[in-house]
Amino acid sequence: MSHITLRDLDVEFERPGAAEPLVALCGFTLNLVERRGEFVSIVGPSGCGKSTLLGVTAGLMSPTAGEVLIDGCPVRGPGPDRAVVFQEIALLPWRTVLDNVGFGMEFRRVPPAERRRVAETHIRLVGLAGFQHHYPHQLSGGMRQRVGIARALAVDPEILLMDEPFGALDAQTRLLMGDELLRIWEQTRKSVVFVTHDLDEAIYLSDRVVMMTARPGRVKADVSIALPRPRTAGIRNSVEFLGYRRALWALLEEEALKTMAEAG
Amino acid sequence: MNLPPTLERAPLAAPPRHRRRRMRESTRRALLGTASVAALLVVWQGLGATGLLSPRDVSSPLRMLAAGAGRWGDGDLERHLVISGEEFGLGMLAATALSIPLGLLLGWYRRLRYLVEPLLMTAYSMPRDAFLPLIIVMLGLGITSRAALAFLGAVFPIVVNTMAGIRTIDRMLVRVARSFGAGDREVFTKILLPATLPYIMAGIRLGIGRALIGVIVAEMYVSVAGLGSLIMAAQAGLNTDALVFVTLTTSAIGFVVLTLSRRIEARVVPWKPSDL
Repeated sequence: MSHITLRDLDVEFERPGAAEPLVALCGFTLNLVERRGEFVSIVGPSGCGKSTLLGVTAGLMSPTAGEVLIDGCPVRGPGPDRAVVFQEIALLPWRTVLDNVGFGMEFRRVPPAERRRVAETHIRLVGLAGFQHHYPHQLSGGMRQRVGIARALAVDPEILLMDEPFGALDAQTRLLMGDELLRIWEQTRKSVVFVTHDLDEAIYLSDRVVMMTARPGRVKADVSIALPRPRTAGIRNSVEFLGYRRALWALLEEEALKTMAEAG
Repeated sequence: MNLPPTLERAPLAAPPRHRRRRMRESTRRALLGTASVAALLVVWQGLGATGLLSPRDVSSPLRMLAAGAGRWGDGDLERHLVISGEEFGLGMLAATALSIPLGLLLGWYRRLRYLVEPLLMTAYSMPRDAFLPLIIVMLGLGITSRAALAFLGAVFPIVVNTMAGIRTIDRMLVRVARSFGAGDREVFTKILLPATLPYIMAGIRLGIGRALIGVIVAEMYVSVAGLGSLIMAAQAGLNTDALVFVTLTTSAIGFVVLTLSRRIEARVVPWKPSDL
């Protein structure tokens, strides 16, 4: 049995002023994470429902029909087995790094002393030792996202759901953060579902890349990435990497053209 | 492989300087503020001394101080100050206690806001002092009716600001809290309230000035005590020195209260630099 299963998901949104609801996902079925500790990326054209899929898995949205199963149990809302890293990061501006990282634990009845200790550990893990008492506005974008990742990891979830976490970062910081994420993942071995629109990033990080079609999103391709680990920057120039890249690009292009044709 | 650590740590050296610069900034602020007040007093005294202005018409800093010293000596001024202070404090307290919860509710519940907003906006720009006679009929001639005018001055800015604060909240923060399993109460205490605090504090600051004016106006019309009654007495006796003294004392009190509130604000809202 797969670890996270999406079964016949329909997700529709009411659109103000329109009679027809927007269909984000229709009959979506996928073994999202097949085994514990797997790193899965979801890619697809803009508006294909990648983030919707993640929101439903997180329990932040309810599907119109169908269900998300985690180890066979249907998701009914947010749960301690999952934590989300958002593109917007959304740190609490009135809290220091330490208290932001401890935030998630406050809802899990973790006593304050323990919270502090765990937060300190995770601040070190993401490379922010010495910044415990800084406020978010004193940090760079990359550092803020490290705090966001530490906050999610601190509640010790089995599954890390990441919604375009590096989308707001510049190209160079983005590469650095990818390596950081892999380093952290090697240490913690969480299952990761990573939504991105960057194919290279998806191939570089993942065990599997799931590509979605234009809206309403369906699975276009589900590709296992058999590149050796631990991965290093050099791998991006390997024949295998370029092979994956070429194949996935061709698929993505088809979908992007479809989206553009519809919009035009 | 990870890039060299120097690259990762590059933007991190800055923070310590930040604090030192703020210290210097606050000193500069105090110096310039004092200089402008001192300059005004010197020019005022000078104009009187050269005969360009008649100190009998516009008083002068020294004459004003002399008038004040006379009143201070016999303990009379303190008595009036305490009375005005009580009225102001009572009105402010009531205004804060009512308007913060009300503002939070109105900010959060859209339909409730639609219902109440027109009333609120009308009342906000209403010349409240005009209703003083009605207030006296309802509440009598005691401290309550004067505190009521302070209350009416302060309540609207705090409600309006608190409401605006709730509405500016980044919905992503609520989403983050929900993703960790926060319930409604936790979203309120851990997200909504702290995020709105800077707006509440700004509302209180606006309210302070209006409450103070409310107290003085009420006392001018219906009191035998308080700073407002002193102003009326000075007006009636054409005692310019006393009039200027009491009026400027009122302003000085306002200044002190506002400065205090900004200090408190800097304490409770350390994540945003405060600016009046």
